[in-house]
Amino acid sequence: MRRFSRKLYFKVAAAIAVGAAIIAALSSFAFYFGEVTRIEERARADIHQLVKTVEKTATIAVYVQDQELAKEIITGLMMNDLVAAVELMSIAGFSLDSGSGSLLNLDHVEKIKLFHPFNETEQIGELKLLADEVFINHNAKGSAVNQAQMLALLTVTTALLVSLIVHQTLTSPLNEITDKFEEVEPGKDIEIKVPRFHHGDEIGSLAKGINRLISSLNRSIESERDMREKTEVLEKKFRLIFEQASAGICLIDGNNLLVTANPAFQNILLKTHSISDAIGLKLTDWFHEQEQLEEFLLKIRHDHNLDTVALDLKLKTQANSRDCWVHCLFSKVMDSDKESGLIIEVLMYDVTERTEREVSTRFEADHDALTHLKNRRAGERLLRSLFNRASENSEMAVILNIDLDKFKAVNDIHGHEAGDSVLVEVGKRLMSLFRNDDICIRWGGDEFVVGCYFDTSRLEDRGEAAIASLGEKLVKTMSQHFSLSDDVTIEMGASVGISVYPQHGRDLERLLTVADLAMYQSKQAGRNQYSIYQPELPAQNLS
Amino acid sequence: MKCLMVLLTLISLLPTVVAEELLVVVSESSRVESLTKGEVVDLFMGRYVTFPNGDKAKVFDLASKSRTKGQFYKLLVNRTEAQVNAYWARLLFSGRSVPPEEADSPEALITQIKQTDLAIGYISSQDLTEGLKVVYRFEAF
Repeated sequence: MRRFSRKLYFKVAAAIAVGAAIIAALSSFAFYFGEVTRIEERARADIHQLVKTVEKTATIAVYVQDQELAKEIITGLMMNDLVAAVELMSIAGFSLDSGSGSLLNLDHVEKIKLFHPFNETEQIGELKLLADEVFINHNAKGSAVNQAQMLALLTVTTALLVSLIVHQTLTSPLNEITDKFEEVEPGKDIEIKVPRFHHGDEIGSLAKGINRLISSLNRSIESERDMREKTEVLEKKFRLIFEQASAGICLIDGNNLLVTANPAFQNILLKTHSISDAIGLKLTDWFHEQEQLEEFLLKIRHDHNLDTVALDLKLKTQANSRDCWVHCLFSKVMDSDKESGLIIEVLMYDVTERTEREVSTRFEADHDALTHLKNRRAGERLLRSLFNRASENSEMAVILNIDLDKFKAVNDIHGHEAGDSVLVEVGKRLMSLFRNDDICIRWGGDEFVVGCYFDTSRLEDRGEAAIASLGEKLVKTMSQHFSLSDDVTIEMGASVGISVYPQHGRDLERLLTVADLAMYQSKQAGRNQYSIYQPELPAQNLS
Repeated sequence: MKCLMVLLTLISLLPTVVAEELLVVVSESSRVESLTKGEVVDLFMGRYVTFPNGDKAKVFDLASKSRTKGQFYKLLVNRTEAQVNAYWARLLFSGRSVPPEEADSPEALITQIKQTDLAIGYISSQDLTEGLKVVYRFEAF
């Protein structure tokens, strides 16, 4: 309910009352002054007539100097309420007044000159008459106030009548509608009754219009509610999928900043970066090869044929923590216009364990478990590809066949464990001596093979010297003593045979065979030295 | 020319037409020698009761309905006798001023004037006799 003073019919009545009061005040005011002026003028006219009435008699009284007659005249005039004072003056002699003294210098005095009755040019006296202003004013004001009051009463009555009519025909029915309207609640059917006698007019159509509006509103609210319930169920399901998914899910915007992410995603991040709230941060910051990833994302956004791409990526990790690998699926999110939006959905699985397992499996498959050098099977494959590479580039490759000297004795004297230690030591020495892309292989037992790429095509130019230098270095490295423990030192040494691709052969078997020959040559020559295969060596030595 | 002749004839006839003149007279023994018209008016209309020289005046009038009286007031104040009577009627109320004493006939009036030095009255010029003094003469009718 509204406060009384805010109700419409009160406002209308108040407006009319205020208007009426102003009009009444103004018109009464104007009327009052008009009336006062009118009545005063009327009084003056009366006084003038009064003077004219007694003029003749006064003339005669002055003419014959008859004071009795003059007094009669003055007394007669004074009987009139309008007259305050009278003075009758004869130039020849007397001057009579009504007792209030001379009126010579007063304002508003009605004066009339009295002339000789038989000689119109000779002035013989003067009649002065002072109007009773107080009486006139009082009269005038009384009358004017009366009139003004009547006018005001009339105006107020009219105003009351108008506001009553307005209330009956307009605000009261409106009030009914408003009160009913305030009870209206969305979704509840309420019919507003059309006020009596208003079926055809604007109030009637207002009520009908409101009814129509309410029912259409209710219908749309109902359908809205249904839709919302369905949406809620769907949303619940989707939320469950999103929240409970084992895969990390996130959306990134055009600047690769995280828009949203599910708990699984946050968990993956928490493992590697200790970030508990990743929203708003940059996705690519967390990966190795950040720049490539950014370029790749840019490509996805602008390439219409590229919608979903899978990548295995390595997350950057904090110091002293494990590597973390993730399998990522990047998909463009299409907006309603079917144009590729800037948003990209990222699905992320933690594949660290799998990757690590794969890596270690691959390592175990290719490497010798003891020395961590390549095993023979991997070594053969690698050497072949080394030769292919040399062949493609018209360069050389060098095969070094290394056989430890007196290794059997180490096993016999110090035991197999010591022998293993020596083999491990050999692996370390080889790996420290050769470059990363040189291939160091444990061929079997105490036999090792190393394959090196030489970027000079002609053995005669510089290659022979370089190979000789390499052979010398190798022999020197291998011949250093090995401290098995504080008090046990083992003397080591190796015989090395060297063959060169393509000068000594074009296939692996041939090159290994000739390197073996060269190695035997070294053994025969007294061990702990290297030999480069000489093609002119006698053929009988080949076997 | 003929018109002029007629006019001249009329003019020559005038003195005979103005046979009767109105005269204001006093007794021969009065100290008053002559009066102006205004002074005559003031005396006959009751303004003053004395002559200008201070002598008390006794004003005589003719009886009503006299032809001479009508003429006199017509000439003096341009009023009819009835108007003059009405004038006096107003003044009678206060009792201070009294109208002139009326003589029954011109002869009686002349007799009254002759009897007292203070009397004043009017007569037709035809009635002018010994013992009277003309103090004002109405010039033309």
